[in-house]
Amino acid sequence: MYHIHKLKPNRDSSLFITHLAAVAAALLAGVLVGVEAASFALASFFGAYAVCSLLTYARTMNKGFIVVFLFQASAAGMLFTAATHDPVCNPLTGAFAVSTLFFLVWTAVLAVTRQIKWRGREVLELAAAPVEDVGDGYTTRPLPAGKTDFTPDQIMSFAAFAVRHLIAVAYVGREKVVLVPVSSGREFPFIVGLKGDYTDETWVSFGFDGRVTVNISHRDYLQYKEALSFEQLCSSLGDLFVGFLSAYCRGEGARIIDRLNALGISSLS
Amino acid sequence: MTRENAAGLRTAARLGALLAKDYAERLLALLVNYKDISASEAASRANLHIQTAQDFLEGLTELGYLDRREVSERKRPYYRYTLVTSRMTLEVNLDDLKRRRSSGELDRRIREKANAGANFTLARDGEAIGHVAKWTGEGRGRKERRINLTESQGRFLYHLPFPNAKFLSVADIIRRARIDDQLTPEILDIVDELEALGIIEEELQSTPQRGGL
Repeated sequence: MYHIHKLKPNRDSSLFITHLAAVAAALLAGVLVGVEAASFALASFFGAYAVCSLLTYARTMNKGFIVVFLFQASAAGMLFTAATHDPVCNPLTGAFAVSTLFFLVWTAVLAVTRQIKWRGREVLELAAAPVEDVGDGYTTRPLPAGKTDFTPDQIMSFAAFAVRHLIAVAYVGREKVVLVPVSSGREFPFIVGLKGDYTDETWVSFGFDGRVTVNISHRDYLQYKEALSFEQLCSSLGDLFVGFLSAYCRGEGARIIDRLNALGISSLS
Repeated sequence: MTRENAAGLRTAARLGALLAKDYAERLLALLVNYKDISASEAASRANLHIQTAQDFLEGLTELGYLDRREVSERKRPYYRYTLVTSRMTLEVNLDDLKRRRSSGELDRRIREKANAGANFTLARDGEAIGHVAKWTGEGRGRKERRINLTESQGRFLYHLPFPNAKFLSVADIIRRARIDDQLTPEILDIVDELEALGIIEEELQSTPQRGGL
């Protein structure tokens, strides 16, 4: 199915710059101190990434991040042992190198199949798909998007599904569950727990009394190429999540993932 | 308000301000015990500046508690003041301040104004607006006008139509927000205030076109 993308191309290069800075720091250490220092610096970076991946798994229960963690931990182990022992004679370095290669391929497969991709952009694209009218009308107020008759158990179960498949981060309260779609590259504050307040983000709230409320952040709204009708956009986002929840309750969770994948948004975006 | 012929909160406020002076009791005692008294006599007796005493006496005269009579002494006219009542009653009818609901006021069709520059902050329960803020003025004179909302006002604004969405009548929004009818005056008050601030806009009534052949 051909889909007209309404979001601007993703020009967020923060992740790329972070990686580049890590490599540059390692190179600098290599030039100033020696090869061992460069290996040790790279090992430290891989180690830090591995901790983040483990944290992501703990938060989302997405098993793909165990693989990513194993790749990063293996790479860290390989570089660390190479820095501290003779890399040619040390069997540990060789074992780490093999496991690094194995988990690198596995991680690449997961990335290409979008199993470890945060789906915020896909959600915003799908929300915009039925909106044709333009006219701005942005407001900082959320939109009461109607009532549903889902049970709290259904909502909680769907929230766990959405988190596991990286569709959204969930904030669970006594009377509602708030789902915050997160785009790739923006997940870090959510993962490390720096984002206690979700109200300035894009979110969909499912009250246990059935009320659905939608909010779209100004930052996300500015990602659209055109100033789409804000009310229609919020309403569409609410309908999208209600549709996702209905599909999930019918046991068609796989179809939700298929819809997201069908948009053809790059794994790196 | 104020005595029998009281006229408004402003009169009561003026009387209150006069009675709040720390020398009010001394001057009132003089007025009660003297048949009439001049500002100069009252000032010297109460150990005040003559202008202070005169302002007090003039104030009470304007409110109708004193009678002022001009007398001449060696061609220099001055006033003598006489108390005309032995009771001062400060009565404010708060019902006069109650917002009257005119017919059709609930039928006003409104929505949030586009690009109003207002910032709405959610209340803690997330189902109402807690406060509205808007920056007014320019440059160094720029300041924030922030309005904290009551619970019903917050729920009303939560259901206010978005900018560029269809207008809704005030009554419809009240119904959607499930606000008690008794709270209508405070809703109309916030609507007026936000309209004055340019945050809410009202649908212009379309006047019927005059047809002709």
